[in-house]
Amino acid sequence: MKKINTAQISIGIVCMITTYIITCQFGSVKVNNASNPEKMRLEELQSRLTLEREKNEDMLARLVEAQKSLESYRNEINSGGKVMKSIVEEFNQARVLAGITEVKGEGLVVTLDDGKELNSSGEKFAIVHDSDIRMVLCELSAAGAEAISINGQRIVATSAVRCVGNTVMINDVKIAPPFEISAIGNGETLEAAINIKGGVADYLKGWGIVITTKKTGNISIPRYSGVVNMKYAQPVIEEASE
Amino acid sequence: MKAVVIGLIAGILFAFFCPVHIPPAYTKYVALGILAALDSLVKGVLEYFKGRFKLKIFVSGFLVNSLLASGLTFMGNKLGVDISLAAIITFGTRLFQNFAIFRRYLLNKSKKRDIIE
Repeated sequence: MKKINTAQISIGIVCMITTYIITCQFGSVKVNNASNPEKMRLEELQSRLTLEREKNEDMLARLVEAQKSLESYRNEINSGGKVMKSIVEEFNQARVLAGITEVKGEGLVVTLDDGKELNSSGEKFAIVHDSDIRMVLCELSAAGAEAISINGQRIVATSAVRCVGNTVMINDVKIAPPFEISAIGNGETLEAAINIKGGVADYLKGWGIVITTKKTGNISIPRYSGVVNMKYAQPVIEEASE
Repeated sequence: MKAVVIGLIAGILFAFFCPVHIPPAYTKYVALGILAALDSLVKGVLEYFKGRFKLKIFVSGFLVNSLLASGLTFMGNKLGVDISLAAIITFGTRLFQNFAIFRRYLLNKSKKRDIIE
């Protein structure tokens, strides 16, 4: 009888331990499931949002600070002499050339679009490629365009126009047809350069691409939206000869 | 079987009053341990009814099987092989077998005249 008793007790204890663990596991799994996929994602996103907001505030504070110092510099310049003024002028020109300011003026808008004809398998027969855009771009530059943008993307010294998959990327931004190439310069010269007999327009039309040019008195070209970050190029400072 | 019922109730009550939260990373190991423990428990009860209950075998089986199942799962995770499947299949099969034997035993006990095979 005593042996049976120990057996009962041991079975009872084991039973208790097992149910204890099972119940704990049930509770944990329930909690974990509730907190797992969507909830945790939400929490993560919220924390990220807070982090971004803090960053934003920090940036704003820095912007205000920078603007203040810029203002003080300007005041200094205005009260300064001739040398200062010439430096400022040069600086502004460099800014325009670098494409970090919005510019406006007379110019030409060239629009490139895929051909409307479809081939036997229902695909567009003529598709505008990056090379076509580059062709127009170079032609415009050669004709004296001072600022060029494609679908709002300013072309700067480091800009690249290339196909990635089936879209064209300019300044690491995906661009879709129709491609509107705006160029500031002498409108007539630019238009002539594009539409010259046997020129770019004729060549592209030959491929079935729809190309239209439009002279306008006032185009505004946005500033370059990326970050100019020179890692390898070091400016060579020439010794001032006196 | 009073001990089983008392144990069940005591375990659940105990868990309600002082619950232990198992982190998500460990739930799999605990689950495997539970499977092994359940198997040992059913086997033990069965042996008890048959009158062949041995305390040492029961307790050692309960402890070693649970730890082995969890440990194998852990090792499988480290090795990149799902060894937990082996534990699941082994203990799952044994659980079903033991329950089947237990069921037959109970049925035969109540109807002693015609033995259900």
